[in-house]
This record gives sequence, structure tokens and C-alpha cells, in this order.
Amino acid sequence: MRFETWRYYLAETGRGLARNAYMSLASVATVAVSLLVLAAVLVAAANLQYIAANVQSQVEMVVYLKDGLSQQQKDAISAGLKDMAGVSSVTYVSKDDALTQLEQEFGDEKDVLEGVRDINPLQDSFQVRFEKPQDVPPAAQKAEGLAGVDSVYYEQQVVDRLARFTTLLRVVGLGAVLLLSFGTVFIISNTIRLAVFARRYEVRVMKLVGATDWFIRWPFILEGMVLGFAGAVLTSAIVYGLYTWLVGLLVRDLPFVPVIMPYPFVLRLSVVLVAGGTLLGMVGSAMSLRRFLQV
Amino acid sequence: MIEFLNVTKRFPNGSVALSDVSLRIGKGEFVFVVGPSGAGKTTLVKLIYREETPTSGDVLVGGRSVVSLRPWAVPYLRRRIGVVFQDFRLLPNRTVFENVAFAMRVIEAPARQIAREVPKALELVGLAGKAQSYPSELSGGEQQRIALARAMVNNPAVLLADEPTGNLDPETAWGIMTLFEEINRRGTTVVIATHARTIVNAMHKRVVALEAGRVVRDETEGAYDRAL
Repeated sequence: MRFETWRYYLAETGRGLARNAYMSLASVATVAVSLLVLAAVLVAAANLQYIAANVQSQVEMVVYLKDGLSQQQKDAISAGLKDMAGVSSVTYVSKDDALTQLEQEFGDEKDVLEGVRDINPLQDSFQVRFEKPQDVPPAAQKAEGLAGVDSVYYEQQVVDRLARFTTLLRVVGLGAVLLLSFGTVFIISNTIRLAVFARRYEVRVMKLVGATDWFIRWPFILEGMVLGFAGAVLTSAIVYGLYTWLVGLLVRDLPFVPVIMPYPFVLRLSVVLVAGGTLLGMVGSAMSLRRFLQV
Repeated sequence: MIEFLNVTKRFPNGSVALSDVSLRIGKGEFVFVVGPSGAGKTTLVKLIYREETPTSGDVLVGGRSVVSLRPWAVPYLRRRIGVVFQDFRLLPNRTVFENVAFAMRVIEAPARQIAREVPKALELVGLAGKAQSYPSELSGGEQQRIALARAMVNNPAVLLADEPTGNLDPETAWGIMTLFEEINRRGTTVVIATHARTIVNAMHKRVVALEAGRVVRDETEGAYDRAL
């Protein structure tokens, strides 16, 4: 294709956008909002997965004991745990130790534990460490069968729950994204319809002097793509600002919660958003041209 | 150059614009198509550049059927045919130069060729000095000349006109008709649908008369009305 042709297309696209400036802005804003929801879903899903991966690396389970066991019974349980496959260490944590740990975690706000001191609702427990994560679930199952064991807690359960929640989030998110994509395509196709209408005389002359259908279509398609692209760039900027701020807060106030650092995560996300937005724009204008540009 | 073979055009609403029309226009001819409003003049012109397709029969341009053209081939047919209308159909927000250049840009002509051919076309119609004006700054006659320049800038083999002088006063109309004659002298086949009686009578060209969709008369060196 000739350089002149591309220059012509770009000039026409610019004219089209300028002619419907308000409509163009509205389209860009709508695209941005739709993509923002998509971005939110992606960010949430990615972080949940990240948390799951981090938890998984903690190869540990906690075996809670029933109240009032004798030292003999506790020793028997400890021995039983040490016998299990893949166990590297077993540590006894009495309910008093547990309360002290809890007080340390609360730090300055340990006053809230004031009334608890005397009755101590916590349980004696064994902290069991493993070599490999895959050894944890079978050992947990066996430990539950031991006499004197009340319950077994291991992070894998958290991992499973996180995985289930991530799946739910994906389904709901996908639904929202699909719905908003339809909305975006509709808005863009409506904008392009106006552009076609505004240029109907030019289109008529073009057909008269022998312009090919695609020559007539390209500026409109580019216009839709620019709308989608601009919306996606706007979304990327918002996501970058918002996510950086959010991560900053989290790192300062809740340092033990694992989060993905903004860079290069947001950059990768932006690539997805920009590609998606541009594609939606293209689909939107193509739809409009099919219906309104009788070439 | 142009051939109509038993062409009938019936519109979806049932009205018949052309009925069994057969016609042959040779290369380099100058033909007036005359007749009252609704006789089918406009439809006849539209069938040539395939704005319409006939209900039955065939239309040939340059020996090839226009009717059986694939949609993608239609633009290439139109590049060999210039068309001029009563309402000029210029683009108001572009200069005279850009209006004429538009016809070349949309068929992706190289910039050098555009810079060379547009002034030539404007000179042909006598408006070389108005290149930077806008259509609204020109008189009706001048606007029609621009439309003619646009129709001719790609050197088409055929020039069609549908009531080209319908919006012009008689004097200006004469100027336009003289221009058509000049273009025809350079070898372009010219077909003009008109009811400019005085001009047709004075020019002594071939006249094809339509009435209610039928060719009722076809005379070389004819007149608008039947000779008494």
C-alpha cells in the first residue's frame, strides 16, 4: 500500500474523531470503564494466585490437642507424628506459649486480650514441619485419626479455598467482562455510525469515482481502533496509579500479606488491556460498517 | 462502447423505468438522451455505471457485461467512467483543488501524478485560477465545471451526465455544453440525459428519445422533438 494512502487514512481518521469530539470522548471513557473492570478482575485473580503460591511454600501443619491430656498421651502423639513420612520436625506449643505468641502479635493492643488471660481458650498443639508440601495432606489425614487429637490445620486448606475463590472470581469476572465488552462494542459501533453518517456525501462521491470498498472502510475501522486504544491507555494509567498506591498501603500496614509488586506486573497487564481495547474498537466499527455503510 | 441488450428495469414497487431497451453507443460518440421526467433517463445512466442493475437484459461497457461484474470489480468499472450530476456533488469543506484531487486520491494515484493531472483538469474546464477557492465561493456554472474536472481527471473513456445544466441559467448552460463538446472532441464518449430543449436542438447531435421507459426515437443529428 502506498504511503499517500496511509497518510490519507490517518488524516481521515483524525478528521472523523475531531468531528464527533464529544462522542469520541464518551466512547473513550466507556471503553476505559469497561477495561477497568477487566483489569480489576485480572489484578485480583493474579494476586490470589500469587498468595496461593506463597502459602504453598510454607510446609507446615498444626495439630490441635484435646484439653486435659496427660504428658504420656502427648508423648504418644508426638511419637506418632515423628513417624510420619516426610516430617522434619515436631514442636510442642502449649496453650500458654500460644497466648504469649498471640500477645506479641497484638503488640501495643494486647489490652484486648485482658479478659482472656485467665480462661485461655487456646489449645495445646504440635507444629509439624515437612520437607515437601505434597506430604502434608496425607499426614494431616492420619494425624486426625490419632487419639487425643482435636483438629488438624494446614495451609493447604487455605490454598484450596483460595483456589476455589479464584475460580469463582474468574467466572463472575468473565461474565462481567463479556457484558462490558458488548457494551463497549455497542458504544464504539454507535460512534462509527455517526461518523459514517457525517461522511455520507464523501462516501457517495468516493464510490462514484471508483474507490474500492476497503479504501472507504479503513478510515472508519482505524477510528474505532483509535477509540479502543485510547480507552485502554487511559485504563492502564488509572490501573498503574491505583495499584501502586494500593500496594504502597499494603506494604506499609499489612507487610505479611504477599502482593505482586507493580513493576513489571502492571506493564504486562497494560499490554493485554491495550490489545483488548484496540480489538474491541475494531469489532465495533466493523459491526457498524456492515450495517450502515452500503458499499 | 456502450450497449443495452433488451434491458428492462422494474423497481420493487412495481414501476417500470425501462422496458426492453436496446441501444448501441459507439466509441467517441456524443449522445443526448431526452424525454419527459420519469421517462427513464436517469435509470439509463445509472445502469451504465452500475448504480443500478437491470431486472432483465444486459448492459455492456467496452464489450464487457456490467451486470455480471463481481462487486469488487465495480470500482474498476467506475474508474473508466466519469459522472456529472445536476446537483454537482462537490465536497463543501474541501478546496477546488482537493475536490478534483479527491477522485485521484481515492484510487490511490501517486502524489506526483496528482500534482500533474489536477491542474491540467482545472485548465480544461477553465478554472485554473480558482484552485484554492471553496465550492461555496463559486457560481453554479463554475461548480459544475469543477464537477466536470473531477469526472475527467482520471481520463475516463466515457463521460456520463444526468441533467448537468438543470440548475443553471441558459447562458451558463451553453458554456457547460460547449465544454462537453470539447471533451468529446478529445475522444471521450459522452452521454447526456437532459431536457434542455434549445441546446439539444441547436447542437445537432445524436438524440435518443425515451417515453415511458421505451426508446421512441433514435436519430443522428436529431432534435429534442420529433421532426415534423
